[in-house]
Amino acid sequence: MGLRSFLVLHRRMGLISAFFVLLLSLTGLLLHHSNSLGLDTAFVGSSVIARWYGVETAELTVAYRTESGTVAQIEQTLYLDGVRLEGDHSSLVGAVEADIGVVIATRDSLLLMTEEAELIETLGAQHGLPAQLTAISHGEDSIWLRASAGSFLADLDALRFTPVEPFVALEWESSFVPEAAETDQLLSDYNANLISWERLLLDLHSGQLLGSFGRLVVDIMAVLFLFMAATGIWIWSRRRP
Amino acid sequence: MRFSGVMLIAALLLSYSSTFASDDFIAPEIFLQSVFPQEEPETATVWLTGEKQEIATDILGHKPDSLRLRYWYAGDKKAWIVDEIGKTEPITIGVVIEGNAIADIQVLAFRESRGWEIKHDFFTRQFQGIGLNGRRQLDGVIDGISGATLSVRAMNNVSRLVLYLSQSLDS
Repeated sequence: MGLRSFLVLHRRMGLISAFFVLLLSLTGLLLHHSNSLGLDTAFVGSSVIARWYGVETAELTVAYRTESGTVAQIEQTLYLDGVRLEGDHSSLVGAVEADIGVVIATRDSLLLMTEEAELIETLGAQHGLPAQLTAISHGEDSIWLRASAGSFLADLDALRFTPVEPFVALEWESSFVPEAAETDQLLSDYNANLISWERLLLDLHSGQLLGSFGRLVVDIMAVLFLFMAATGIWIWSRRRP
Repeated sequence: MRFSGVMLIAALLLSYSSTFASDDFIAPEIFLQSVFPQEEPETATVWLTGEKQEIATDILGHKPDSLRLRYWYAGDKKAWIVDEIGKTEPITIGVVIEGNAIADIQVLAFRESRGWEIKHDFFTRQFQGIGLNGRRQLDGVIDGISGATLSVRAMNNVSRLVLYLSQSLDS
């Protein structure tokens, strides 16, 4: 096989692999700076992508109604009036509105939220919060907590949780079933935020996005690039004066 | 044969230590008891709004996760417990401030599989006596740890933040 034939072969392989060189270079560059670009913590937000990945649809775990909205939980994710809250949380046990805003009770914590769903503070065991909360109630000018150890009167300003039985019968917050439309909206948001941009780019870069076919294509391209490097060096060596 | 056996054991130990390290946890209550062994500290909060939020955002490189931070105090000593993301998971960091300098810093919870070296004394004792300079940077040198850049950065930023907030309270 002469020099001219190699040149033609090299050129044709170059054309075929150009698209993949661009794709791999671009995804590789982005992945190399994934952290600084925030790609690992930014989510694709597409239900189409979620379905492509075959993400198992979760169920709405529990929901509570406050005076002005809904607090819901799907798996370990909490939503306040449709706004997803940061982080993973233990089991939701209730929510009440208070002077500070909204107080969301989980088994291990109290989340103090503004009505715009901004986190003010999270209270936990280090603040003296009773362990294993099971319910919350809003009495007249007071917040009550029910935990495995009994009932507590909560003073969130002084951070005091006084073990005492309620003076009057309280209505402990109980869960409810939201309307189907509201549930669907929450589930759609939840599923759309399971795949990060970093994950998607990794799968695009490796061919994994198209399963075994994609991996085969990437393998073929890798062999093609090796062949191009070899033919390129050979052509250069033949053309040297 | 002997050499490969030694290498295998070493690899197993290393993998075991890296996963074990991510399970280490000091309960915040225990941390506070160690900081204030003789007295029950008072507690108060600092609202991260307005200028404080801007400066906190500048220090952390992102908007603070909550609108207020709590601290415990007795005498001239203040203790802060702050969560800050390393790479993807939060690191719970306890910082003790006396006067205008860090008296102690501890990793209370480390949830990632890499970078856990920051919990060791050889790293944390570098922070003792460190304060803030005029540019809100640490006024001493902290030697980083190879492979733990993001964890080290989280510790540095939390240190700067609580030093700034402590100073703002004192002023």
